[in-house]
Amino acid sequence: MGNQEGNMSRLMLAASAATLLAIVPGSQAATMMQGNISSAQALTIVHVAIDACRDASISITVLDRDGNVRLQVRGNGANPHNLELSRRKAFTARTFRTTSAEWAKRTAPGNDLYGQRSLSDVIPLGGGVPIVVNGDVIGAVGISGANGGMPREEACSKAGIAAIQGQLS
Amino acid sequence: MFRTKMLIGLAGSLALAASFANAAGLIEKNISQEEMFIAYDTLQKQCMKPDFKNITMVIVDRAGLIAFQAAPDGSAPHNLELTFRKAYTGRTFRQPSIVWRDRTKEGSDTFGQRQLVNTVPLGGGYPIMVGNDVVGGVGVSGTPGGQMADNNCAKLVAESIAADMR
Repeated sequence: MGNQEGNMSRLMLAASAATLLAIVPGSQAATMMQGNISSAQALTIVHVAIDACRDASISITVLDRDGNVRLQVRGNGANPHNLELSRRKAFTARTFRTTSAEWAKRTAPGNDLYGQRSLSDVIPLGGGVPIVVNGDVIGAVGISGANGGMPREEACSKAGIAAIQGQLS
Repeated sequence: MFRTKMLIGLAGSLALAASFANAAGLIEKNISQEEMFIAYDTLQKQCMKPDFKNITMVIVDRAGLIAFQAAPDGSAPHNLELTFRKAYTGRTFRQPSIVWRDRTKEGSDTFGQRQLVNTVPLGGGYPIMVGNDVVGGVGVSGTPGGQMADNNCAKLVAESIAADMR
């Protein structure tokens, strides 16, 4: 036991030395640069998605890379839950880096991942789509209240994202 | 005896129902999605500058519920919540939040109103008035020039919505 502890402290020392070595040249380390969705792009997404789903008045949320609201617009005659639901769909897509419909399938009851559904703010319903640039998720879109339900909501979210895809690199 | 009372009660209810039969339904104006885009356009054109777009805006409807939120690039984590609270304050007290701030200041009789959830004693919230009818509220944060500038911007936005609703 004592020997193990001795080994442990030697290991810790070696690790600290390695960390210090890593930090010292780190003064010249590159700052982390992260893509994020801009408010102008969010506005384009919202306009195009609303137009794609124009046979009903949808509620829509665009989240940034941190999962915070960038732009949110409620539909005409929306139910009290619609705007919040659109946000949760987007949050689900953002944080799991996949469509909320795909995540709902993956976490279905009986599945090993079912427990993920106990997280707050997620929702196992279709309509949320991540905004992906070169494999990096920079935000997400969620829609609620479309005519045609969840598949249509997902399609309109995708239409909105497609409108800015050319601006993303 | 009980039966008689029941009958009298029933007759009373019927008479009451009859008198309500012609009561008018309640029809209220509320903000449409199209008007929210008019509002955002006003914010962009009248409050933002080519070199300054860092303004947050929230619109609440007649019920004080969020109908529109926009956070600018580089916004701080508190911006949307604070801006919502300005809009809510303007809506629920039917006056600019900067006026409510001064009316409820420390030592005044109405200081206790500040304990209400979702209110905030800061300028930048403005009621959307169509005549004497309050149909919502606008909250603005981040306008260069502080609370009075936020207030003036929120006023412009609120009036652009009200103009469309008349």
